[in-house]
Amino acid sequence: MENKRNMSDESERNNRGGEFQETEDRVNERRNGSRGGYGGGGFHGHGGAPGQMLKGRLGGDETAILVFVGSLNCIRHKPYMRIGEMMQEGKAALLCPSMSDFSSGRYLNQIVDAIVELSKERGTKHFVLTYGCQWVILSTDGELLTEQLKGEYDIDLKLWEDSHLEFGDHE
Amino acid sequence: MKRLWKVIPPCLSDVLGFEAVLNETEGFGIVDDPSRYKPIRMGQGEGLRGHHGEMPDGRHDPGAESGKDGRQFEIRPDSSLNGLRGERTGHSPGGFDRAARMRSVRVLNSDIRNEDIITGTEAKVMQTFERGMELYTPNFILLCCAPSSSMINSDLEYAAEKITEQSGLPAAEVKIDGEKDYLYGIGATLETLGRILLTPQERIPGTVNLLGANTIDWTADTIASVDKLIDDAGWRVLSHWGTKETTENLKRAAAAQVNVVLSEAGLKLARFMEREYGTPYVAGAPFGKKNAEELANTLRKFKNDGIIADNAQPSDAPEILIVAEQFIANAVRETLLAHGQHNIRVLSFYDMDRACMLPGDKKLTGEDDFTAQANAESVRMMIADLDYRPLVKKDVQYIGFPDGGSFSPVHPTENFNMTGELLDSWLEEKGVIHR
Repeated sequence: MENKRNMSDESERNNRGGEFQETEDRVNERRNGSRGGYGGGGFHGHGGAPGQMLKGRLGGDETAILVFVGSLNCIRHKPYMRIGEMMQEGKAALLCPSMSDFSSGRYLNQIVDAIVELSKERGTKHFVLTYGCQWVILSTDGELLTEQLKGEYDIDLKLWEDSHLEFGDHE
Repeated sequence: MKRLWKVIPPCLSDVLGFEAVLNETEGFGIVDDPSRYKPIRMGQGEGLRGHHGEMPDGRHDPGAESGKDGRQFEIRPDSSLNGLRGERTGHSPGGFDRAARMRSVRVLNSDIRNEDIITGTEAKVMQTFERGMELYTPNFILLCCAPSSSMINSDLEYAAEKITEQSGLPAAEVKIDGEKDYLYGIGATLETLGRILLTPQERIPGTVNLLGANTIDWTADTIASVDKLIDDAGWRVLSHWGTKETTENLKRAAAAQVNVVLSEAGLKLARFMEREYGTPYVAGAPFGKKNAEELANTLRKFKNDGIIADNAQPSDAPEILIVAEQFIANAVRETLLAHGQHNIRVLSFYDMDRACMLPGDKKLTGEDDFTAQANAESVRMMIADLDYRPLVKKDVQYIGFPDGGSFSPVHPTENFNMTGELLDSWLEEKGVIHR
């Protein structure tokens, strides 16, 4: 939630004259490969090796788990090259809903079920969610999910906002 | 929970299977996708500092400077690249020539953005086609959706028609969407390629096509060994479908007397050719002495036998589980059977063909399914990717086996040439069989 607000504030600051403009810091960060897109002021990725880029999304929270929601093809990008290691360390998981899960909206329940299952199994209440293009196309209400998980299960969910549809190739 | 992967790393997608095929041809592919495609294994096991930089169309990758700290990505040794791509495309074996590797990519993305989701992607697809015509000298064009364009049902069939109208080149859509595994993508791409390229030909006795061997699962050594095996059996290979091949050879493939299907990914094309051109096929990977001899014998006295697999029925409870690409796993089973092992089941996370399954074989639906199968009381041995091992909670003899389709392997087993007796030797070395 906090992260999302930060992003909105920052977008507003950067949005001059109706045209999106990047700050110099952002340009440098992106050039250095140190961020996964433009999202979030709360927690940053680290440049360099793909494993570090992905772990950086956890914002240094040792108890947090990264959950990716999307199709297989969406994780072909550099940050995910070492997701296997994070999965075997218990720090990441993949939820791959089918196209019909997405189009019927069933994926929203699947996300909650998956996070609750992981939370019970691994004894953590901290999750970071990252996603593929379907999430963006369907205008998924991440805040609603965040509120549901907090309200019903006392689980903290942060969204790592990133979209190739919006920002093109950046990592 | 179904569709939730907690331990087993993801595999390559169907669109990457599409790319794996296109990269070995004289055509090119368009993926209706916001982000670009790089070599399948770029940055893995080659000491590269990143997989960014110059793109096949000369554009610069904005993340090219990443990896400044000098860390190298050394995820896995990739023998398929060191071998097949190196030898067949003229790159130095070892594959450090990054620019050449980038140029080997024959797939472009349409660069769609949010606004195209509302207005449609056709204009971007046609721009990409024009870009591709400038970059390559293609003989054909294949198109496919990515998850984003699939969500809005991009009409790529119409785009293909327009491309053919404008260029006179064969073009078609491959029906994939980025949701399935690489093997499915290779199969769908090969079948579509067959549909647009093949024409009736006069039969040439003593010739075969090799269908389904691909650069993801197969090493160059293996392909060369299979070619030699076919040659030694007195047959000539007309065309390879899935590895490096010319369009001319692909077009003439209907002249072959027999198709040899080497992986599950070749079956769709084989069945299409059987229907359309009456070309019979035999199916099975010639891995292990028994399978290699059987393929050679079947070809020598060819009688449209169909599936090579031994139809020995497994007994009630499985003792040995093999988890791999279906045809490779079938070949391992046949080899174990030939050496007196029994009660063997083949399981796979990838696309499987029913006709090539024995009773008890199963396409795994997810981690829960695998866990249930692997921890069955009767199981005493597993031959599978080492990354699956954390889900095996009982004491079994676990033999690490290569999984070329894994996108993010943690404990990779290097791929090796299993042709003929080489597989028997490997199994003996691992203590699985005794000769």
